[in-house]
Parts: sequence; structure tokens; C-alpha cells
Amino acid sequence: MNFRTRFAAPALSVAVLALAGACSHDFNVTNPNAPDVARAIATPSDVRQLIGSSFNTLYISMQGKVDQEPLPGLAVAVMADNMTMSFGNFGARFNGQEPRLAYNNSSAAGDGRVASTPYDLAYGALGAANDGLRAIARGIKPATSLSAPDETPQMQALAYFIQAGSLGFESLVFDKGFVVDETSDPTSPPALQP
Amino acid sequence: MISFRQVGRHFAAGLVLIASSAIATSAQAQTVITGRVTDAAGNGVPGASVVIPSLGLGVGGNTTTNGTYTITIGSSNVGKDVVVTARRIGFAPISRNVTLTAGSQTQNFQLSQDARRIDDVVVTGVAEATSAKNLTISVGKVGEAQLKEVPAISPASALAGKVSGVRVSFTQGQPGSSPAIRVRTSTNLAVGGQQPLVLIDGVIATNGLADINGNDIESIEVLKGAASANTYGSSAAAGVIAVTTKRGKDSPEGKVSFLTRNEVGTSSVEHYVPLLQHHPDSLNADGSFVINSSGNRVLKGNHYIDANFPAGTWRDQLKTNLQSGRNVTNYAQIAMRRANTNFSTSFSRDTDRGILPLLEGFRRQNLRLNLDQGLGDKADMSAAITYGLSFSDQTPASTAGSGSTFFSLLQSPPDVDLVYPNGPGTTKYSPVLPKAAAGGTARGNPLLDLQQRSFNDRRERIIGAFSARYRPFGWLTFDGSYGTDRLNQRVSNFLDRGLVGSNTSVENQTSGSLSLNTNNNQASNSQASALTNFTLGALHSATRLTYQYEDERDNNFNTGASTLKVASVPDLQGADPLTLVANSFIANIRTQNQSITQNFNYGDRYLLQVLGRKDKSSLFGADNRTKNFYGVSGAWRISQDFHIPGFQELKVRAAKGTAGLRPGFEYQYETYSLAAGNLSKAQVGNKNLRPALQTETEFGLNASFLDRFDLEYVKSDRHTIDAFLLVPLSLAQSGGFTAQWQNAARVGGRTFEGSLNTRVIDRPNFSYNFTLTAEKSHQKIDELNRAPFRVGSSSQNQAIFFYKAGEALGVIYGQRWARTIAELADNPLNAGKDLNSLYEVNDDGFVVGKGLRGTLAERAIQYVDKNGSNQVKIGDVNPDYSFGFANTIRAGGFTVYGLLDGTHGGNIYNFTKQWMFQDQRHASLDQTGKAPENKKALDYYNVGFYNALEPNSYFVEDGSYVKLRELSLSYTLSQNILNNMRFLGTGRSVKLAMIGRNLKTWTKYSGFDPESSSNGDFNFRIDGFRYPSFRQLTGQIEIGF
Repeated sequence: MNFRTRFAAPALSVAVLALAGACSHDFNVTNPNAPDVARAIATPSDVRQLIGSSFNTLYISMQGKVDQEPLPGLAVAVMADNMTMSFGNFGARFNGQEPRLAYNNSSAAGDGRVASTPYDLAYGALGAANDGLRAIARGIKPATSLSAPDETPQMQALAYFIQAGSLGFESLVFDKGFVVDETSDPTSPPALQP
Repeated sequence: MISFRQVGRHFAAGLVLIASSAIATSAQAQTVITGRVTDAAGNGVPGASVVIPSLGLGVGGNTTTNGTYTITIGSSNVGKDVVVTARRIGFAPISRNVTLTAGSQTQNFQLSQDARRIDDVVVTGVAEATSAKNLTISVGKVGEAQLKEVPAISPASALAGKVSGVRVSFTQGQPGSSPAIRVRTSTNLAVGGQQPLVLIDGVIATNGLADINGNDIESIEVLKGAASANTYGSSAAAGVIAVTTKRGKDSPEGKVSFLTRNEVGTSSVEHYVPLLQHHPDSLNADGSFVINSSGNRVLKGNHYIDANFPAGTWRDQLKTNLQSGRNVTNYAQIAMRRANTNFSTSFSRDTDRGILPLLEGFRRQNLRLNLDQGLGDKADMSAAITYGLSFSDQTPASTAGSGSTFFSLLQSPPDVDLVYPNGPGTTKYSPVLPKAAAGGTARGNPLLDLQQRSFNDRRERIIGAFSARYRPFGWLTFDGSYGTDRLNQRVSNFLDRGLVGSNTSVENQTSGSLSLNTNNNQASNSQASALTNFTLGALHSATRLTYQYEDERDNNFNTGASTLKVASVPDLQGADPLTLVANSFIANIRTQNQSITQNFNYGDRYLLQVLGRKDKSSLFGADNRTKNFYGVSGAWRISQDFHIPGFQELKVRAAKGTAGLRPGFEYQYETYSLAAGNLSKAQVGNKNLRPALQTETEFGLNASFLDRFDLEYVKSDRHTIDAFLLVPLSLAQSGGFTAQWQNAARVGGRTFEGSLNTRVIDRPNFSYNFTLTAEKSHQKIDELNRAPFRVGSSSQNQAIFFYKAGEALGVIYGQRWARTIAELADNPLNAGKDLNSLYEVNDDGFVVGKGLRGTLAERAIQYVDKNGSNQVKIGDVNPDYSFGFANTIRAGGFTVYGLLDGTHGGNIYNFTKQWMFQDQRHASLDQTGKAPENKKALDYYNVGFYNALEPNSYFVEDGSYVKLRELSLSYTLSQNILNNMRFLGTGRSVKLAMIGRNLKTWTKYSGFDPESSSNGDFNFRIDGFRYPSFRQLTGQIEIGF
């Protein structure tokens, strides 16, 4: 085998393989890290888990989460003179000032999360409860497993409780909100109600 | 994946193509011109073209790696007189009249180098290698001449101050870290999202420049924006940095050349944060501190910080504890060229301890092999492989943020020995500092974690580039290449059970912790291209068709436990299972690109480049899978048409093009988040997600005049539409989804940039030249399809930047302290008040309550606008201009090289200083030397300006600086001296050098370093306890033979 032949083959192989890469590829890549709706609530146990998780979300919306952001708990506790803080984290200083300052509704305000986080979390809990009820309406019977007893009545009751709890919390803390439930049309924005 | 059958089909097609070209060649063989093209030294010049323009398209050939060529001409041309021209970029072309005869004839050419800017041959962003003179676009280039005096610690640092329009910022300085790079203006609103596309020997380097040794670099080319980088489509809007490593092609024929370069030096802090040297506490008559019943010191009645510490008790904790670390670089390169083969291989070893004590710092070994092999006259192949292995024991907590080593070190009490805080015989590095140490809050012992923690970041990187070229005709070249970038990273972080810890004020034993993380990233790109070129009279045309496929797979796994059950077992099986956490991340990204680039060159006078490219990517939304890009650019070399006295070159050019930014992997997907088994809605999917699209227009002028000046001036206007933002949603309307990634912003930028390269004096034994680069940029958020919002570092209270349509990108918002009484009238709550009776202006220029000066109640008053908001614009990070100034002086065997770079204007927020106000550590609190009526109580600072860490104007500082970035003094031993050093043998070259990096910074900024910024992003200039970049002084010896 002469010099040229010996090296021509691998050189051509590289070239041909590169050309072969021109073949069509599948560009529809699934996200393996987090489920979408179809995968998240596909089975009876998923629906049960979803409604159960909404309790956790609603609790955090009201009480904050100690190892993350204790919102709005610290700010409210300082406002109520239940406790004092010498530092400014979590909106406690601004909201606890006396005489009281008007709530800074500017998006330039650094403490906007004190209000938006509990608002969003409560609606997150409500959304999960509504999704659970819609899944039940589609015929999925929540249960711990496929062979376990049907827990539809319990789960419905819990979901309605979350609906009441989240909307109740929103109305307690905020002056306006959106009243939505499992019958609301997701494609048509609800009206803001006082 | 392709099928076996598909591979076979393409292979067969390739064979047919090759066979047909061979047949065509033999059928026409009537007159054969052979010869060799050499340089002035007689070495063969590979890649030169030898053409006969009068015979039209396709008559000509390229030289092989040893400079030989063959041209075959049909018999109908026998007897004709023709002009044969040999040309190669970097050399002056030669033409010769030849009469064609039947049979073979030999024509050899010896090319002489083009004396002007011989290095300026550009291969990035063009259809074929192009002389800088004939470029129609802006390409910044750093060649070997600019790199060799001060070998760069990393490729990115090699760009600092050398290329106009490129900002390199050493946002954190720990050894092994990569500086932030921004080319012209921002294209992206995501924090840390300004990094350009990186190519290393043509391989898309997904994992950046961090693992490349600066000694291996031959040149770096920078495409600055869409007008020039459109060749790289949807990943190039932030610019392209193309690194080319050294090869053996320039080695002498048949001889092995060897180069070794060894550098040893020390690292040290150049610019310290000023520390408070006095205290506000009461003293007993004997000079000792008054201690109350709780064991704490007692403040004086006036709270003035003006009392001396007892003699010998104060120390500068920074200068005491930050070390001068050693750094060593050993580099060896072997290169050879023989006939059709050349190779270059190198090995390097770098160690850099940095400035923190008790750590090894950063260690890296690199092995590189570059090989080029000619395969007869018409084909060649190349391979370039880099293997890098690095280790670092610098934990993230030692390098930045609140709670970090620098956090507790900067706030350490000055009258405590941090090695034995509680006295000789007590616990070494105890986390519990004496209660009666100097006031404020002790933040633990910064040395303890450095000493106890076992941290290892092992990073293994393989970059491989394999390519083959086949030239069936002089006018046609096929290229095939495969490149891969693989990163394997393992990080272990172990704190043993039973070590000394603390529970507020009492020493205890830690329960230990362990985390193990792996990060595996594999990216590959396959490319096939065909280049055709022809010369017809004065017109030269080059067309390149390219197909490229990119595949990237990311696989991360992180696990850890916060409690260990047994000591000395860094294994998760020894962990408390209740504290175990684990998460993973997997991603696969596929992208396919096709492009066509057409270059026309008419007589080296009129130049045109046109490009079209189509990208298809799995990152784009399902309904927008493809995106088209274009580029068009032209230039007129006026000096080729008109003789202008004094001008050797004058060129005007214009370019316009588009380039994009790809969305992140998860942007397009609808997701529920899973945390601890709980489901919650996260983001709504977006099937319409498009790549962000930048359109850039640039106008440029290049001039060489008076035989010693090269000038380039460029104006660039760009706007990036469809920039990505995570837009919060009304959860009520979205059914609980919190946000959606949208193409929701438009970002505009304008840059004026220029460079001047001058050979002031150019004599055989003495020369002086300098290069000056300068840039002036504006960047603005033109549109924002969401509510304005605060953004910044995720660390506590550091979201100080404000994104708002119509506002400059990089503005700082917060509270501003009023400077005049009149401006207090804006506050609605002050309506009707007699403000002059309530307030006065103190000697610092701040408005304070009347009659309160010098008292505990003296406070600056914050400005409140007419809307009642105290959140106003307090700064802007954008500099007025930035510049680099590189000087080289040669005298005999001596060379002095110095590079200054810097910025003028632009603010930096000194968050470090703000927190130091609370803990009474910053020198600004010192009241000694002030007139009695101007003294301020501690409370004025540690309550007032500290402001519970709320951002405020007191800590917005001027970030202007001039930095002596590089300085070297080298001496190349003359041949006479070498002849007397017979023990070295013959044919040696020896260079000795003293090298300094970051030697001196001139700035008004009071922190460690005005380059400090958050998240490796120049837009977020906030100094938050970051590892400062440091000064290096080294000695170097280089031996070649």
C-alpha cells in the first residue's frame, strides 16, 4: 500500500462522514427534567399528588418558607410589632417603618416580592386545585395507585377547600383579585374584581 | 442518527466524484507545468496558488505542503504566450511570461514577504483566507507578535486592551477563573448572557476558553457583531472569538524545533480596601476598654470613631492574612515539518496559589498535539487535540458573596489574631471570636473554612478537531471536519463530622456535610463545505457552500447531605439519609445550519461579500424551528484607484447583517416543577419562541499613511429584537403558571471604535511602536414587553439594576441622599412645610435635620420624588469610553513592552463598603483629623448610609480606572554571547524576561478592583466581597533550538 493510498482512505472517510451528517435529524427534543401538563397529571396518583401539593403551596403563600424567602411572614410580623428587625431583608424594614409609608407600587421598588410572592403562590395553589378538578371531570379517579381505592370524593373536597382557602387569602390581603375556578375558560381572561 | 445505508450512499457518491475528477485530469494532460514556490529562505510555501488568468476558469493549481505544484493544460494552448502568476497571502505576488510547449516544463517562483502587516490574514467570517487589506467586515486580530511578550494566563485575558470594541473584565480574580468578555454592546438582558461564541481551531467550544493555555495560541480573531459574524448565524450576535493554536507549518524544513518557556513568580494584592484604624469605644484610665456586664465594649457618649486602639493591638487583617502566592508555568513545545508532514506538540503545567492562605489554588496540565499531513498533491488532513486537566480547591464560598471568605475577612475585628483568636493554647482558627473584640458584628473566622474544608474541583477537557481537504481541481476544494468539545467535571465538597464549628458564641462540633457533583458535557459539530474560486481577468470569485450539524448533550448530577453519621468517611453511605438531596439535569440540543458565502474581488479594488444562512434548532419553538440570516458587505480600496500623497492604503467599507442568540434549553417547554415530591406549575411553554435577532450596520475606514501609521475607525449601529425575558404571568389568568419565556425586548447599541498602530521609530537596532485602541458605546433598552423590573446578583439586596424601556441598559436604582434643601420640596409629604427651618446641609454636602450635626441623630435625608417614590436613578455603569495603549520598544537585544488599559466614567456600586459600614470596618468612618464641628457619630454611617443594605447613592462610586495590565522587560541573548556559552550547544536562542501583570491601577474607586462585577457580566458592576484580581510579578526564561 503506497503512501497516498494509506492516507487517502481515512481522509475520505472523514469527508464522507461529514457529508453524511447532512442527513435529516429530529429536532423535537423532549425536556426530560420537568414534566409538562400531560405528563404531570396523567395517572390517578398524579392527580392525587397535585391536589395534595396545593396544600403545601397555599401554606407557604401564607406563612413563607423558612429555608427560602420568609414572605410575607417577616414583613407582616414587623408591621404588627410582633417582632423587630435591625436589617432590611424581606421588606421588613420598609413595611415596618413608623410612621407608616404608603405601599410603593413602583416596579422600581426592591421589595415588590413581599406582595407578589404570596399573591402568586395562592393563585398557584388555586390553579393546581382547578387542574385536579378538571382531571377528575375528564374521568381520572384519583388514588394512591392504579389498584388502590378511588379517592375522588375526598380529593374533590380537598380541592374545593383549596379553592376557598386561596381565594379567601387573596381577598384578605389584597384589595382586588380574579375569581376563577375549574369551570373558568382558560382562553378568556377573567375580570379583575374588587 | 444516520443509517448505515445512508453512510454507504454518501461514500459511493464521494468515490464517483473522485474517480470522475481523475479521469478528467488525465484526459486533458497535454502540457504540464511543474515547479516549486518558495519563500526567501528557500522553504516551500504551501497553499500558494499558481494561475494562468488568460486561460480562464480552472487553469491553475495550489501548492502542496512542500511548495510544489502541477498545472495541466490542454494541447490547444501549446505555443501560446501566457502570464503565470504565483500568489500567497502575506507575500507579494510574482508574474512571469511563459511560452507553453508540449510536454513538461518547470517554473519555480520565489516569493518575498509583504513587509506590511504580514500577519493580518483573516480566516474567520470569510469564504477563504483573506488579507486584512481586502476585508469588507470588522475583524479584530491579536497575532503572535502581540502575544509573545507577555504570555496570557488565558486566551480571554490576551484580548484585554488589544482589540477595539472588546471589553475584557476580570470580574473575579481567583486563579483559573475566566474573565467576562463583551463585544461592543449588550445583546441580551439575561444576567451573564453576553459571552461571545468561542471557536478553538474551528471547534465550537461550548465550555469556553478556560482550559486553554495562553502559550499555545498563535492568534485570536474577533468578529464583533452581526455585520461580520452572520456566518455563524443563530449563535453569534454577541460576537465570535476564534482561537488558532500553534502548528508546525512554520518550522524549518526537516528540522525538529524545540521551545521551552518557564515562568516563576508571586501573586499579591495591589490595591487594598482601606480599613478603619480607630474605634468609638470608652476607655478606662489605664487605656483598656470599658467592658459592660454582658462582656461587650461600651460606646463613648458622642459615638465618634476617633480613639486609638491600645498600642500594638490593631492590625490590618487584609495585609496580615492575604498571602503572596507563588505561580509557576512550565511550557515545552516541539515542532517539526518534513515534506508533507508537520506537527506541533506541547505540554504545559501551571500552578497558581493566588492570594488566599491555606489553599493550593489552581493547578492545570495541558497536552496538545497538532498534526498536518499532505496526501499527495490534492488532499491533506489535519488533527488538533487538546487535553486539559485542572484542579482547584477554591470553594465558591471562598471567592464571592455574603458569607464568603472575603466577607468575613473584610469584616474581621482588627484587634484579633485570626490564627489563635482567643489566645495562645486555644483552638486554632476558632470560629468564636472574643466577645470584647472591636465593635460591630463578628462574621466568623475566615480562615477556619479554608483550613477545614476538603474541596476539589476536577475538570477534564478534551477538544479535538479533525479535518480533511480534497482539491480535485485548482478551483475546487472540498472540506470535511469534525470537532468535539468534551468536559467532565467532578466536584466534591467535604466537611468532616466532628470538626470545630460554632453555635453563635460557643465552639461545638460540626455534623459534617458532603456534596458530590458531576457535570458531563459533550458537544460535537460536523461540517462539510465546498469552496470554488476562479479568476477571470481582474475578477476573483470565491464561493463557499457549508453544511454543519451540531449536537450537544449535557448531563449533570448533584447530590449531597448536610449531616454525616460517621467521621472521616467522605461517602454518601455515611450520610444521614434524612438530609440527602439529589437533583439532575439532562439536555440534548441539535442544530443544523446551511450557508452560502460569496466573495468578489475586482482587482483588489472593489470587494463584495454576500452571505445567506439557514439555521434549524431544537432550541427554537416547535412552530419556529428555522431562522434565516444574511450578511452583505462591501469595500472600496480608494488608494488602488487614486494616488493620494502620503497614503499607502485608504479603504472605506460598509456592512450589514443579522445574527442571533439561541434560547436556553428549557425556555420553550411547559413545565411543572418537582421539589421534594411536590408538584407545582412553573412556566408556560412557548412554541413560537424565536432566536433573538440582531441586525447590525457598520461603516468603517482603514488607512495606512506616512509609511508608519495604520488607522481603523468603525461606527456600528445595532438592535437586537426578540431578546429573551422570563415574563411573569397573572397566575389567575394562566391557571397557576408563573411565567413564560418570551421574545419580549428590543435592545439597541451604538459603538464608535478606533485603533491606531504606529511604527514611530523603525531602525535596525532600535524601534518603538505603539497601538492605541478606543471605544465609545451606548446601549439602551428600546422596548420591553413586560413591566419594568429590578435585576442583579441573586445575593442579598443586590438587585440594584433596573430594566425599563427607554432607559440605558446598566442603570442603578435606589435611594438618593438629598444634596439641597430645595429638592426636598418634591416630596408630597413636605407640602407646605418651611424646609429651611427644618433642614441644613452638613460639611459632607448632605441635607440633615437642622441642629442635629455632630449628634447621634444626624442622618442624611433621602430624596423622594413627586410621586412619593424614593426609588430613583442613582448611577449608570456604562463608561464614557474605554481604551488600550500598547507600547513596544526594542533596543539591541532588549525589548520593553507595556500595555495600559482602562475606562473613563461609569459607576460601580460598592456593596462591600456598605456592609462594612454596619460592622464598623471601613476607613470612611474614621473621624480623626476632622475639625470638632465636623465629626460624625457612628450612627450617621452604620444606621444612616448603611440603610439596612438598601441600595443608596452613597455607595455609587466612579468606576474609572487606568491599569498597567502588562509590562515586560526581556533580553534576547546575542549570537556572540551564545557562542561563548558552549554548554548550550549550537543553534540555540535564549530570552530572559521580567513580566508583570496587573502591576498598578490608578483609580478613585475605594474597593479592591474597579473591574469587579456580578455573575461575570460587565453590565452588573456591583462589588460584593469578590476575590480581587491580583498583581503578578514573574521571571521567565525561554530557550529555543
